[in-house]
Amino acid sequence: MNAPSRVLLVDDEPRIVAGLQRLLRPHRASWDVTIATSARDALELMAKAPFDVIVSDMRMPVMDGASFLTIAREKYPATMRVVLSGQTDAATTIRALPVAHQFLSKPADPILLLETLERVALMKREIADPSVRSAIGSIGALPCLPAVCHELTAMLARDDVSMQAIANVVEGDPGIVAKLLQVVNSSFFGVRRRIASVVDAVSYLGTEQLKNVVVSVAIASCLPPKAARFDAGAFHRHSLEVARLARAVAGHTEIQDTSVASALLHDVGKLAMASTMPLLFDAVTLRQEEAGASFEDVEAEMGSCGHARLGACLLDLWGIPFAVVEGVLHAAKAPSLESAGVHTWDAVHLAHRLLAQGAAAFDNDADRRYLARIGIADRMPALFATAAASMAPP
Amino acid sequence: MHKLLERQLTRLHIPTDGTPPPAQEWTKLLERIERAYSDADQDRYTLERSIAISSAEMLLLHEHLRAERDKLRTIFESAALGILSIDARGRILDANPAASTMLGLTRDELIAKQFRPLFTDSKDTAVSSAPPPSRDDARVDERRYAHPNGGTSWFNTTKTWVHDATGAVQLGTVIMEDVTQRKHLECSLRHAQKLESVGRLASGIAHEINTPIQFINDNVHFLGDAFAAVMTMVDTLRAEMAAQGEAMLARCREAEAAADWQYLGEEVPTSIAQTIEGLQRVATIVHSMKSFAHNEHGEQVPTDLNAALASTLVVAGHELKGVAVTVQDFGELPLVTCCRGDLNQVFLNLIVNAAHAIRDVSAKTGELGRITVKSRVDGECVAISITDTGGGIPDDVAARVFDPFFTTKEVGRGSGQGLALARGIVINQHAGTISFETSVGIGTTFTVRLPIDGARSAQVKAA
Repeated sequence: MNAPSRVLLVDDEPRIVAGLQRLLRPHRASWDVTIATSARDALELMAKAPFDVIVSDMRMPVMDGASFLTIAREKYPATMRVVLSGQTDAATTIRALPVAHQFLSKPADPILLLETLERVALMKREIADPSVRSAIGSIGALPCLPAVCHELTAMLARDDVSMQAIANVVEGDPGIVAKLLQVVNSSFFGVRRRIASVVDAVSYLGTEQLKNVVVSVAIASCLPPKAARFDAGAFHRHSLEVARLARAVAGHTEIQDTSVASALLHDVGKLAMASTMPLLFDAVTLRQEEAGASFEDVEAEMGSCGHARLGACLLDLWGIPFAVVEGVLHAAKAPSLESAGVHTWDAVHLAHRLLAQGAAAFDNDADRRYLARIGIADRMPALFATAAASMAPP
Repeated sequence: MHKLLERQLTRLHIPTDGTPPPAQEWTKLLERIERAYSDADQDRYTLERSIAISSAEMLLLHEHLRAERDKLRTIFESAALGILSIDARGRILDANPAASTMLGLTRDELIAKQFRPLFTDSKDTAVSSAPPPSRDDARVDERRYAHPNGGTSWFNTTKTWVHDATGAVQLGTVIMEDVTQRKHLECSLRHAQKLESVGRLASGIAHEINTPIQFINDNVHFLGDAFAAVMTMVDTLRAEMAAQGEAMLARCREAEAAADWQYLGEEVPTSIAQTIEGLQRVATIVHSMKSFAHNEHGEQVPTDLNAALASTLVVAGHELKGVAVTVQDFGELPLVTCCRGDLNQVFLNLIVNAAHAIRDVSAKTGELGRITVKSRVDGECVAISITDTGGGIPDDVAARVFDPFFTTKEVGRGSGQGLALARGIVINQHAGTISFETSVGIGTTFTVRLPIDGARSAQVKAA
């Protein structure tokens, strides 16, 4: 059995941390709980031994939650950061946005709290390399295209723009989409259902909050990724093309929103790699060009955990809906799950492969069985045509 | 003989007894007569000219005077302000059309009436009995006026007195300005300010309550888990002791009876479950309160109206308790672009009105009423309807329910502002409609329709 994960609870109200500690006591096999009633105490404890997760209040005397988490991110990036706050106003959200992986509002349902803790601790099991964990944990926002930020800022200043028009621009940048879905799915907004549709997310947040999200993403990450071989233009084009095709594969079904979001985000692992592990990214790209192999194969060959897993872990850490995360994880490799019907991961996987390999790649028994199982075989000719159209030079 | 002719004849030495004069004298006479005629002609001409001139001047003057008079009359007749002319004792001598429109009485009806008793609520006490001694003393009073055909208006009246040479009051003029609209706006503003501060307060209180809820809830969950563990442990120990023999088991039973263990085993989990349920209820109320008071600074944002209705029903819970059961018939709704805080207020007003209507009936019958809150998509709008099983609205009241300051409720229960404010919010801010259907003895349904894309798009379409 694994050693329990170490969690540090920080709140200036001692009864809160004591209550949480008691609450977690029956789960002592999974959680080793330490408590602190000030940010200073918490930092001292962190200096003594590493923690897997911090759960911190926002409003605390002397050093508040945002400042505390900022230091924690810098010094201990592999420690996952959860905010548990009674304040759910815009100002608090903005300050917590770049430094927290998850946001919970008081009073938090014990079940939701445990689920969140388990979700953020998942990465420890998924990614063995602590340096990769640190790299992922330190990401406050993914790099975005300055042009998209500018266009959005200009659009949001006007009051005659429809939500759909704004959503169309947002979809042009996976970095902003990821942050947007993180914020709207956090319990700060009190939206009960999971939101994967960009236009729904934009509508729920409203233009004021969206402005804040865009600004926070822009400040955190408007610098281009550090990797020399990262082609931002090609990355954004590819994400959009896969998303367009995934929309066609999913059709007007309940998985359309998650498929589109998942396809938009399917390569965020590369984005994360390019900005936090530039040497690794350049090495993989170079090797890929030399050997003519796929990015995934080169990663496997080099013993890296793979950008799909990286991206999925990051999005999972951010609390993006599970279906979207699963789609990102399975974009490159055919899902091994034997389930009937088209799932989000099928839509993303098909869209990705159709664009990368064309129709011919599906001309084998295994794929024919796969397409028949998910019941999409008869629609493939039309999808091939759509894919061919988007691959043709404009 | 004319004495002028006699004088001429004497001067020319012509006998006046009719004797013919010498020819020379006769010629002279004729010459003089002719001159006299022509002089007379000249004089007459001059006279006629001057008469013509002065009568033309008279005419002009007359015209001028008439124009001046008409001008004054036109000002009096067409002034947007109401003007009353009163005598020293405050009796109305004349009223302009604006005044008669404002007061809803004809000029003839107004004339000879006392001015002051027209108004129901006036701070001014000494009007007719003791007119102010100085003409500088022009006072502005705010007066409430109940229209003969229903409705209430507010007027600012300014009175000025005309004094004669001895200083005695001759006449008075009252100028009336209709300030109902302004009064209404002031009321809305006060209301909005009150709401805003209540909202700020509510969200502060919500935060204060949420902190203890967090740790009470955690602790109660802990107690539940802990008790379950203790129960398991006691079961294990009892089994172990039973294996040690009858004596051991008997002592064990004794200890359990002393602690009332069987009862504890049944009741502790129940009490914990009920405590958790109660905490959830408190959390829901706090959440609703916060979301009800939610104010985006008047910004219109896409809103889940079903959630807004649900939180409003929680907030109105106290008004509904023991009065009516609520039925939530919510349809699938798209997000509606609107100002959530203001619409919450509209829904609250309608729900509380429904509760009051039912209470009036159930006070007699002693039965619970029913309030149905329904939401549906209706073309490009969302329709929210609130139906009560109250007494319905009689015809004479129905025409006036949206009038500001109109109320049928006893003093202290209603300000007469609720529906007027609701109407302002729905129609002016959201380009929506608000209407009602009622039948006496059965109940009333108020329906609010709001354009899904918000007021702006509705205006664009209208243009």
